[in-house]
Amino acid sequence: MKQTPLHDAHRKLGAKFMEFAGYDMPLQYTGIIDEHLTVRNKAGIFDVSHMGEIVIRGRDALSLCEWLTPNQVARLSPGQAQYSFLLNEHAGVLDDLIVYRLSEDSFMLCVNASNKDKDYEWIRKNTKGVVTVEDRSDDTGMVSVQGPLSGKIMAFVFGPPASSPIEGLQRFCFASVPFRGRQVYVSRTGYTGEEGYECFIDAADVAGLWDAIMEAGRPYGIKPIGLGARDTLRAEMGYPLYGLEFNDKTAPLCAGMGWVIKMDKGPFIGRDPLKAIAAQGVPQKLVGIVMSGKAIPRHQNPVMLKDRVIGEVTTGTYAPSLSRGIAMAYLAHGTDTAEIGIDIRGTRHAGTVVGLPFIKK
Amino acid sequence: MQVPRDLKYTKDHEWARVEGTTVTVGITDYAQDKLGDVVFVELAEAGTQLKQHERLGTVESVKSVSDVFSPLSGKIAEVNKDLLDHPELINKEPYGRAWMVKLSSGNSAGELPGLLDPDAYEKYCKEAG
Repeated sequence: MKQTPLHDAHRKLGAKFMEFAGYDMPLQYTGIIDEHLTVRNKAGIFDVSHMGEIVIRGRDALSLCEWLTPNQVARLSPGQAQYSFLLNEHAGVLDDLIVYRLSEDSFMLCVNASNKDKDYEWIRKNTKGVVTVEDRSDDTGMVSVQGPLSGKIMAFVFGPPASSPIEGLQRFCFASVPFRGRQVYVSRTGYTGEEGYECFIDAADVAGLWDAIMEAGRPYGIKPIGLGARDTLRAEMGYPLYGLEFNDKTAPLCAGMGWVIKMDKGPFIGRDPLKAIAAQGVPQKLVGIVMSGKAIPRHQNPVMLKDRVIGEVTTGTYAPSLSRGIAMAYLAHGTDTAEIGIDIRGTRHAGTVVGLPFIKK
Repeated sequence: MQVPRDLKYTKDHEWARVEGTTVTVGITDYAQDKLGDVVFVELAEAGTQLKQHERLGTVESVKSVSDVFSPLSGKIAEVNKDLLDHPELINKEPYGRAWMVKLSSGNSAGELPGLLDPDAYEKYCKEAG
């Protein structure tokens, strides 16, 4: 199993580990609920060095990114980022990702750990024009700091606070910031619904950055956060996850991701099938379900309206902020606010369909 | 890891406190630590007749679902209703307030030698890691 450069730090912090995308990753340290609430109320630090970074440079880098992804990359100035997808020719989702415009003609795609090899191969296969495509994943460390106090902590790390280069950084913007003589990309992004920052740094230097953030965050009650709470935090926000809400058979429109797709920007892979799907109207949409009792829905549990199965749970978990079980599912239109049942291991449990996110930020 | 001396154990990480024909059942400290935050407990109802190793309930942490099996045969005489309302007790007092059921086990004496004593259970857990 692979390890991130922070594996030793996690071990010293008493992490419990799990295998994820071929990496031995921290599942939790103090406990998923405690970690979850720490991010909602204070700040937490995540090791996300397992994620992939693919850098595309060259004269035709912009046009290649436009061809590969459905959002409009030309809207980005250097220092800006956007959420997007890699789609296949049937408009199925190969991955969801964030595109960072590093300069006029260089871009970094931050992709899911479980997909990075597949993504890199796909990009190589679909490359055109004068570009270089480089998989920087193994050389890049990545930590994420999330929570309402994250801005204060990051200002100290990259301080002095009053003139910190990350002061005033807007959501989905990033800056190249010096840290101990090295450059770090600090990006105002994250997957928790809280104010947060993601830092990309040479793998060799990521442990030093982790320690500096932990030190600066101590007065603010920062804690390390494992993959368990990372999942409950994103689930409460209704953020889809590749492999559960998306796969290479599902188009992104059903997941409420129409805002990402810019049909008129020019040709991109998957555009024609997406147009056809949009013209027909999407049959389903991604909704939330809040359980009435204490039972916890899980992935693939059937969703029932009266006696009929109308869908199945994509994400099902316990929501620490709500102290209840929650689920996401693709359901037909017209089921809003419906009282439904979820068949959990043979027993039906009541729930209500709600709009996403589960908690309003 | 706590392994009280007065209990018997299973390889599925249940404990049994045998007092005459009454057997109190729960899951061990090792099990709660492996599970993480327990957020839901489901138990068979009072009156249910269980065979040894038959499922008596389910414990869910945030991430996982685990079945709990009856360490001995018997009829459920009492269910810990307090635990159903406060599943987090399992993480706090696995051998105390988080007991799950009391069995009346008139004929299970023959099954007792199949359970682990504290030393054997502790060794088993250490080997499991």
